[in-house]
Amino acid sequence: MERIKLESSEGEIFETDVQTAKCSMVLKTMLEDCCLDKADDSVVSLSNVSSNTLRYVLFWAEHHKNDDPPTDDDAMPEPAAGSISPWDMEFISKVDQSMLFQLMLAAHYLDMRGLMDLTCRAVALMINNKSPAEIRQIFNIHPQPLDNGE
Amino acid sequence: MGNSSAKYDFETGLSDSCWELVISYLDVISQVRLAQVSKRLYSIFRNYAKRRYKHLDEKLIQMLSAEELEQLLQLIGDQVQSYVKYSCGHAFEQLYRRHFEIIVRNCKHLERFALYKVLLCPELMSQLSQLQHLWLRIDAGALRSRLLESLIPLQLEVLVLRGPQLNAEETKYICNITSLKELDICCAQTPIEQFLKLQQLEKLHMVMPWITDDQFLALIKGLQRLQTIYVPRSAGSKATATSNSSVNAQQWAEESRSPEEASAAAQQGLPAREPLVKNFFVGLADNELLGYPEVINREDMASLQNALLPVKDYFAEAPLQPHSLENLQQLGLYGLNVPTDYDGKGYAWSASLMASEPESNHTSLALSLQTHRVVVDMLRELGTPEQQQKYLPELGSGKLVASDAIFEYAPPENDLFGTKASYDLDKHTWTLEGEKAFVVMAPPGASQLFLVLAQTQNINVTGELGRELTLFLVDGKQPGVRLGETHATFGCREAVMRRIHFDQVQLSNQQILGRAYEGNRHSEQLMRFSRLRSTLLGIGLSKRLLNHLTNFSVETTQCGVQVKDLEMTKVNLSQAMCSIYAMESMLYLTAGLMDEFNNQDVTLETAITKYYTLQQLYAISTQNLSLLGPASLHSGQPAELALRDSAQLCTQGESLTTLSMFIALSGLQHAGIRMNEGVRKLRNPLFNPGSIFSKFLSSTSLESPKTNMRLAEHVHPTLEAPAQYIEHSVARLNMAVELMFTRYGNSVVERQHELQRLANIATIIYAMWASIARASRSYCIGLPLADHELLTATAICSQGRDDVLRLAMEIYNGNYINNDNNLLRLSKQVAKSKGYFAVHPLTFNF
Repeated sequence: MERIKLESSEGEIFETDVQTAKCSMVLKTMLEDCCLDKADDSVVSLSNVSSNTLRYVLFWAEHHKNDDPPTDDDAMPEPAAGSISPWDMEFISKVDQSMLFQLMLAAHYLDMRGLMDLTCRAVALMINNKSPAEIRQIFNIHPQPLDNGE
Repeated sequence: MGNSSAKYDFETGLSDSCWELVISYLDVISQVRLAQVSKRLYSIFRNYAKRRYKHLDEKLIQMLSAEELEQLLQLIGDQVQSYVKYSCGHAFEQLYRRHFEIIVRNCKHLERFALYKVLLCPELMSQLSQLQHLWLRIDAGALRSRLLESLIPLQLEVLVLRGPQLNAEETKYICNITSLKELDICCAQTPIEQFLKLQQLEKLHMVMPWITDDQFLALIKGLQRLQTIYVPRSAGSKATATSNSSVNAQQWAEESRSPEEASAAAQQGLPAREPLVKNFFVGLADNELLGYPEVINREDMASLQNALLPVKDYFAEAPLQPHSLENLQQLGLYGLNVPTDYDGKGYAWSASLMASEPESNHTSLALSLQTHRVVVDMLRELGTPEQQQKYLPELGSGKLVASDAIFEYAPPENDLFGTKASYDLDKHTWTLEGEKAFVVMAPPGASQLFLVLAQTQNINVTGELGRELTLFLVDGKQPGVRLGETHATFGCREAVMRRIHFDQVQLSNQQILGRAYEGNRHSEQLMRFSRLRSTLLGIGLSKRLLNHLTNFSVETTQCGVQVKDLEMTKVNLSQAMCSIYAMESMLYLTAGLMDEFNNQDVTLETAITKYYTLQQLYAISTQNLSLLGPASLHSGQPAELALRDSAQLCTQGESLTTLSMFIALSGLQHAGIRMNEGVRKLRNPLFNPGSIFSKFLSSTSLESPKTNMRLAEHVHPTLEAPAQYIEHSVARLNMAVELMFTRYGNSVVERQHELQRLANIATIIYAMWASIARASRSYCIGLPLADHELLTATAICSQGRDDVLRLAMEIYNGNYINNDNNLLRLSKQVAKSKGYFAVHPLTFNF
């Protein structure tokens, strides 16, 4: 099995198999187009992702490496299409809010649709049926009056 | 904001696209709340809503309360381009008024607008300056006039109005909206000059009952841009609306027939069309018959309604008292279908059925009246002028009451009837001998006329072949006619039924109805009439049951829940509603076909109407047992009486199984003639490899048949899906028929279980057909609660589609996969053991 090395922002090296890495569209494109030399010990540097986050990302990707690749349409997913799988549910419930945020950023950065989807759903679950004040409290947002165009 | 929390500041840290994804997973209410959190989130939401909520549709609006909708519209109202709300889910007028105000205040850029049942403020309407499409349902009144007036300055392109007919003034306002390209209205008058102002018009859909041919042509010629015109068929405009389909207007103008010719045809009844249901068996559907027949024109309907008032009043006032003969005679109930020449009312099928509706609340009374009317029908169809002159005036006044005498307690083993009539060559008379059972008696005070079906031997043909039936008119007072014992019937106890003996009754040739030895053919006609008329009894009874059950469920509370709120009750009530809707639609569609066309073949239509009605009636009446419990069987209670009556009706005349066999066999007979060649090839594959091969290659299958009947074009667009279901069902019926011919050949008549499935399929299809035809008409002309009729028809069709598919699948799979083979094998042992054959479950074998 081919392996690939990833470097986190702290400089820690993570080794993983190519299949797992391909969950990320960015890494997938890189692997396919740039023909990373097999013999070469080249390391892909992910300067935006911390070690801790990368560990979570890879843990998630390991479980999802055999999923169907996402279709290539950029259409907005229909709300409430499908549901969260039990494994994902457990995964996301063990993550605290700060890590959830980091995961979202990482998923966005690495273009991992599945993870993006999962994290957005998790955030949506937090927001659902909450009043604006409660939402502000959850995300620690300062109240500011709405005056746009009204 | 502390440094630590800034690390995961969701609001600013996440990109717009992340937030949009989050938003897309929220429901609308939460989205609105989220947008109120901060400026950034608000602008992200607006961006999202620009795509997602450009068109506010029914589904979305239904989820929101008025307050929530207001909040949503306050945020993004100016981006909304269309607003559609047809149904009246929770029809509180206040709510709609509120809705409307919110919309007008917030949605300045609205282009399309559809709203159901509105209390609109005309002043507000004119604020929607960018409006192009408007779809409204609104009741008549001053408000509507003002509203329509306020529309003139707007640059409307499409206007669809539902509700009562527009008056002259309102029509004038509409004709001043010159920018209109599409118009769909229903108006009382047709000021053609006014309409010619609408030069931009491309599509016109209108219900204008009084439009004449000349006006119609002027309209088509004057409106140069007109592409399609849709005029639903109605009685007054029969001549203009040769079809109720969309036609190419310009082409039609050139080809249109001369009005004199057309109106002459309308008076006599149109030439018969191909039989509707029989053709279902061949896979054909006459889509023009989807226009629900309006055979009674407006004036006649008004006078009919007037004439019915005293009858309705009488039955409303005296619901349970025994009805004296004088009362019934005075109300003219015996002469409904007697021609006016003989002092009757001269109603045709539809009218006489309508006129007998009030009495159908009294099943027993209605039973005897309908029996009388069927004999009158027969006399009208087959009687010689002398017979008509002799009997009809007395029958019409009720001095003479007729009933048919056909059934026998114990028919002989090798013959149809034990009652025989023999001809005396010297005296030229007939001698009638035998007895008949279950003959409905005339009320005391009237003399009685019997229509007797007897076995006769054709003197020109010897042996078995000459055994034919003949119909005789026998006067109750003739010597030899003797009344036997009264039958203690299970239901309809007020209609007295007795056995009649004929002891050497002497009959003359003038007492033969129709022709001698043609009784078989004539009795088929008799059955057709009596099926149609007895359906009405079933409908009356079903309606009464449903009303009774609804009242019970509304008034009764069990364990703190109103019975009507239990899901089981809801489903039961709605199913009953659907069934009755289908029955009624079928009855008046069939009657309409008989009135509208000359000698239309409605054999199957009448049989199916009765079959379906009785089947569903029995289902509804037995539902009572579970809902009301033992109370439903209290002697003398309405529920008990209704149950008894419905059971009696199910056996009256013919059994349901016989009826279903009749339906299937008549259909197969019709199909057999047409499909002869194809089936012959299929049954002989070795000599016709090509045809087998093409059969394999053709991609059409039972699950997804290919059809091209274009039924959807002939009904209101909202019924497109149900129309599609009918097409598929017809195709499936045809496939099943072909398969049965191929598989069984001539012996198909012995496969009675399969035949029953076929009969059920045909029945379901006709029910679907009649329902959507009726619902489409009701909706197009804006009858009250027409939207619920649409829902009813849709429900009937969805259920029907599934049932047809299941039945067709069972036929397709054959007796080894479906359960038939097991059952047939079991029956042998049951017959051998003369009943239940299994030993006791605890038996030891040693």
